[in-house]
Amino acid sequence: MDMGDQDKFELENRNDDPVNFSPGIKPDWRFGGSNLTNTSMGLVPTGNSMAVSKGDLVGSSSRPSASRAESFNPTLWDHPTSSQDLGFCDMNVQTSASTSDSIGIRKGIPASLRSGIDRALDMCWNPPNSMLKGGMFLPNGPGVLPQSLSQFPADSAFIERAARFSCFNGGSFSDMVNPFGFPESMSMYSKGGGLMPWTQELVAGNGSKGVPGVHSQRNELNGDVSLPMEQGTTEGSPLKNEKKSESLAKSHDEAKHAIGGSGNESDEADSSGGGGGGQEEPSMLDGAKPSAKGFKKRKRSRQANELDQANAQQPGESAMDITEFQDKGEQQPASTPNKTTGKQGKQGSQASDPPKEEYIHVRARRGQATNSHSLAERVRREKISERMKFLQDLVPGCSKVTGKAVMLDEIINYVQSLQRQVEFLSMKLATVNPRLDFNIEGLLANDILQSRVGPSSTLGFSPDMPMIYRQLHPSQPGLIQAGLPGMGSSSDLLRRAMGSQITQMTGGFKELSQLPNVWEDELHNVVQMSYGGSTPPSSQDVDGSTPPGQMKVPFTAKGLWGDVFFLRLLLQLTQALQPSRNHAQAKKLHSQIIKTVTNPETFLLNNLPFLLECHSFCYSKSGRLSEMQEIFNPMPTRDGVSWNSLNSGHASCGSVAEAVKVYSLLLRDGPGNLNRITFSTMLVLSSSQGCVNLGRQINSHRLFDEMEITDEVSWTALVSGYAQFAKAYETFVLFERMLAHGLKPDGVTFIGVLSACGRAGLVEKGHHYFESMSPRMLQAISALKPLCSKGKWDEVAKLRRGMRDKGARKEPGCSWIKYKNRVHIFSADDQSSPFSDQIYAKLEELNCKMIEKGYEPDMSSVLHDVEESEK
Amino acid sequence: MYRPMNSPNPNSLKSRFTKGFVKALIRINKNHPRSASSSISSSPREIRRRYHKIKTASYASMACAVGRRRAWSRALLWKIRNQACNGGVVRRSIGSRSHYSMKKRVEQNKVNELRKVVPGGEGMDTWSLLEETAHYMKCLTTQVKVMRTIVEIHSTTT
Repeated sequence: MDMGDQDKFELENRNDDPVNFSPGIKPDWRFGGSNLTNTSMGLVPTGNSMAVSKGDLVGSSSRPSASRAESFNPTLWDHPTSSQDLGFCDMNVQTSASTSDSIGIRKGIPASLRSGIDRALDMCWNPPNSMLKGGMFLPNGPGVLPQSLSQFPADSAFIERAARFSCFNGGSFSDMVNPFGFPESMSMYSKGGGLMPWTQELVAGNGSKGVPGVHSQRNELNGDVSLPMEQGTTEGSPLKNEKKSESLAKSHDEAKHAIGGSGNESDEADSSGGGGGGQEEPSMLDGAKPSAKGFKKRKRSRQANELDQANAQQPGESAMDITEFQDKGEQQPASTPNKTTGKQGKQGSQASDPPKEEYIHVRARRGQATNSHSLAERVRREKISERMKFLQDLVPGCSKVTGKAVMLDEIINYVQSLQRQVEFLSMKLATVNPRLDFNIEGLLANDILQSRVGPSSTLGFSPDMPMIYRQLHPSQPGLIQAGLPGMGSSSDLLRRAMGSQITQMTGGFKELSQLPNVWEDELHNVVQMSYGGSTPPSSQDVDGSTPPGQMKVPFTAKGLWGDVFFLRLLLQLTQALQPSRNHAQAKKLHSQIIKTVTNPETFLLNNLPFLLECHSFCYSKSGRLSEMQEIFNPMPTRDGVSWNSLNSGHASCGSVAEAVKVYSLLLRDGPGNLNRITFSTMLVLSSSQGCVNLGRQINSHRLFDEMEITDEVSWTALVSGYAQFAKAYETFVLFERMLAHGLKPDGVTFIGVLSACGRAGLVEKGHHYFESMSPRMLQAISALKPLCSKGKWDEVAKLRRGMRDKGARKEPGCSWIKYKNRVHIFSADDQSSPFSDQIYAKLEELNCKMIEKGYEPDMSSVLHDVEESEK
Repeated sequence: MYRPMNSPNPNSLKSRFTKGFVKALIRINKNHPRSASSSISSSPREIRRRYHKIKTASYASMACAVGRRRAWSRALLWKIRNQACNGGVVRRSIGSRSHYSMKKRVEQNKVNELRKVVPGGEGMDTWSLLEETAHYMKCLTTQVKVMRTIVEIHSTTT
């Protein structure tokens, strides 16, 4: 897993934007156009348009579509009972199969997106349908499609609407999908049955099965409702104008139109059978455009026609139609609840209560209030299912799993198994003999080298290293080849050589070294040996110990390539192993390096940043900044690393003025070298030393704004910086901003905020923030002191009590009392201080003073620290 | 960039993790100076302690390698840092809505389970939870891979 991977990851995330989703839809608009022409030719063109959409949509919205298919998938499986005839079984199988591989999805779903527009076919199961039942559909197509085409007023608003519908369909889960997608096909068949004699048989079969079969029947009914729903949107293009005038499109309205549409839809199907009726409709629609009410009226009248036509048709279907239409007739003017009841009434004879209808009913009502919300919800669901898809790819063996719950199960199992593996492995590592310290190091180096992870990085090189390498590049081409394994200029051979060398080295150490000191000496030797090629004579007598022969051989032999890179490696090793106590050693090493290098000028020139980096650690710890400065000054090329190391060296030594000077130099010299590290160094510095100069605080705020990446540390630094200046307001603003950025404030931040509260005397606010703290942040106890100093003793008592209630175990209260220019650390339960008696006396005195000044003393709190000792 | 595909990336997550983990291992081993003669380590209690340390170290170094960009790593680091006291994580209660269907509820339960598995998942919404899960899973895989290599090396040499 490397950066590229993660980048991709991010990219995919970005894909989920609702904004991004719209381009996925936009092509549909185009398809709306192309589709019209296509479908007019019959059904085969539908396939074409599918292909077109595949080609086009895959580019833009293949991912959403895939996820959409996924969301469909469960639904399909949920209603296997509804597969009545073989054809349906086939379809189920096919679609589920296709959803498992993404190609199938892409084929299917863009089409479904578009098919929201050409509503002649069902919305989502259109492709499978047409594939499977092409024979059946073919005769239907010409009959139905032209109809729909004639109704297409090329209304852009409508297309938008349809697109939204399709998106709606896609994003929603089973409950939503079902009415839209799956049953539609059934209703399609039933419609087809109205047309074709041999599909009539099918319909008859459906009908007969449907009546006793509760589930299937419901599906069918759903189909009847939902297909119209879609229909309603398409035909509702005139209506939509009205809708828009009311408000945005409400799902409530949608549902209404759906019902209305159902009448229309069956109208069409029937009329397409009847021929004459079909021609009537477009004109009707045109007429209906201006006013929705006229439309409805016409619809009603048409329903009358419809009834006649239906009666003329096949009995089984017509019976259904009649009931439907009657309901529709009632429902048109009525409100939603009526609708659902009507629907239930329609089902009449069946025992099945339709939760789906209930659901639609709820949706409608909710959507009425917040359509935008539901839209957002849809987008959210899309995102979620997209993520799920991604996860599915990640988890091995999960690709075949369908169903969200099962998949989540798989994911959980996988993560848990990974965690268990980690536990197991660490258990194994725990049982390994800890004596193999160096072995670990060496072997790991070996392992890493072999497993092609850059050795430089594994041995502690900072991320800035590539920069240094680049800097190296022009002047030392010979060495770079050896020194740049991370950059890819090295061969595998080199790496293997390195690996073997290191193992040999460690092998040698295993034999030789028992003490860390010896290890250091070894390092020195190794360094010298690595330069053995250039300065063989001086290498041995500098250091006391003689290196073992077996180590000497490989290193001297490899002396040429070793120089820069290996030196770095070793320096890093020293640093890693002896973090705190090798100033002297490091210094010695340093001088040796300088001595042993053949071409000191170039070497120094190019490696000083690195050396500086290595040594700033040691030097700054030991406070030998002047030496650091000495090294720094002659450097001809200073890069960000060297600047930063100098800067942080100064900062960690607390010499603020120096650090600021360095910083300003850095600003003047090369602003390009400013980076995050510089900023955070300066921020921390300026806030910790904030009392020096208020101007610097502003400076630090400017710094902060310049930082692109802000993390908790910098926020906290700034917050506490402001707090130190008692700029309470700014502190609060910052703190709120920090919270708004989703960063978690830690104890330090809270201390800053609370102390700001204390200094400004904003006890209520402080209390409020205090309440929001989790008990583990109660190191912030120190923040109580400022509150104390404001004399709000009762508040403090409350806080303390609250703290106790929270079950926090506070560290023994520790106060720093400045007494006669000397600081005494004064702990609550501590009698060790020679001045404790005096301090207690002082406290008493203070208490008396407070009483005098009219405070109502709360003895328990004032003497909170004292009482224990007095008892 | 400069780097051909087959060469290692010095800043890759894996190498960063390895670096951190090895350092931690060395530190752990150093903190337990044992007599040179002792072969495989002694008491089970000791082993358990080491095991816990190593486990924590591996998680911590992975989280460090990932950095603060990710919610899960942040949560993990936070948890490790404040290991002393437990609790305090405010779990967002997911109100059971009446209109949830049975299936949805099952899904929600699963999601909540996942929340518990992924560090820091308790404060996330579903979408970011899934995203974090994906990333976390990748990282865990890497972690396991590296650790396995280390163990293998050990077992071959000892």
